[in-house]
Amino acid sequence: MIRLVRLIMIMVTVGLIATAAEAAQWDAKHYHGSMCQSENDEDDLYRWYTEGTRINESYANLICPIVRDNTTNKDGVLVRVTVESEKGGWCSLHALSWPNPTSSVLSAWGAWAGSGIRVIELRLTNSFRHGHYALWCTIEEGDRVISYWVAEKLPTNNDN
Amino acid sequence: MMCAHLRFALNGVCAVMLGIPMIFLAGCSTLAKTPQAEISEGDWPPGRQQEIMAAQREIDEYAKATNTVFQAEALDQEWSTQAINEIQQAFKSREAAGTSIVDIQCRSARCRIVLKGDPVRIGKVLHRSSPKLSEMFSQSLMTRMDGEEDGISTVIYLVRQGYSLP
Repeated sequence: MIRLVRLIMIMVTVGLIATAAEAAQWDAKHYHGSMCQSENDEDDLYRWYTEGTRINESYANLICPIVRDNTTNKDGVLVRVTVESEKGGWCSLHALSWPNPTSSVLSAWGAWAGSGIRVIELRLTNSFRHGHYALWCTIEEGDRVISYWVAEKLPTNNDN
Repeated sequence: MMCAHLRFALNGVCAVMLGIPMIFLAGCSTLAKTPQAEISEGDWPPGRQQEIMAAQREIDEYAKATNTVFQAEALDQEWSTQAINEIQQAFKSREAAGTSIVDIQCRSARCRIVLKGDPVRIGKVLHRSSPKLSEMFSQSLMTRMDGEEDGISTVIYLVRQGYSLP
């Protein structure tokens, strides 16, 4: 019985260490939804500190900037977008090549349906050295991007 | 290397300033060391010609590796037919005007589509199709192919949910 308890304690400890190691491999940043800009300058957008970016058009395409801190990794990025919606919408995440951003583009997609607050996860498992990331969301009238969370693989120090 | 030379030169200037208090010498030495701590010779800043060429080589090699993985795949007839149908539907939309599918093949985990037309418009079609694409596919690679006879084409590799790019 004592051996069994010891074994369980060892397994729990190993599990906790593995989880901590996994978490330590990521550097996360959380951006306010008001950073998202419309593709079209004439779109009617409303920004507020509690709201993020809400749109007063039938729909709008929003570009949400991502600061890439690890500029040389080739194993991608993880993004979670928090939205509030009446009907639904979608986002796509892109890793673009450098120096020509349209030479090669890696993409992942996420969509939601129905009303309420949702968190949409987009994961790219690859990226290009020195290229930038872009988040592109299409939302409908009255809907909003509240915030978006970006996790990069470490290291993200100022050397890369 | 530049920083090392700069530091050597500054230290040299400090050393020949005879009669100056030692505290000033220490200050010069600290000033000369600062840049080396912030800038490394490795990856930053990008922009040198060899870095541009190395980045382009990596992109080309990655596209080749993706194609090699696709060509080696077995065929899953049921999934392939369904995937081809979804892709064709996406490129029948209004946003796809001016683009055309030259070739489309789906195997068991990936599809390869060759397209003609404005790559910006092709990108918009993929974004507009996000709700459908996200059900069937996890990721994509869109790249350019320079054909000898038919000019520049866009090649897209779409990866089935549960699989990844190489």
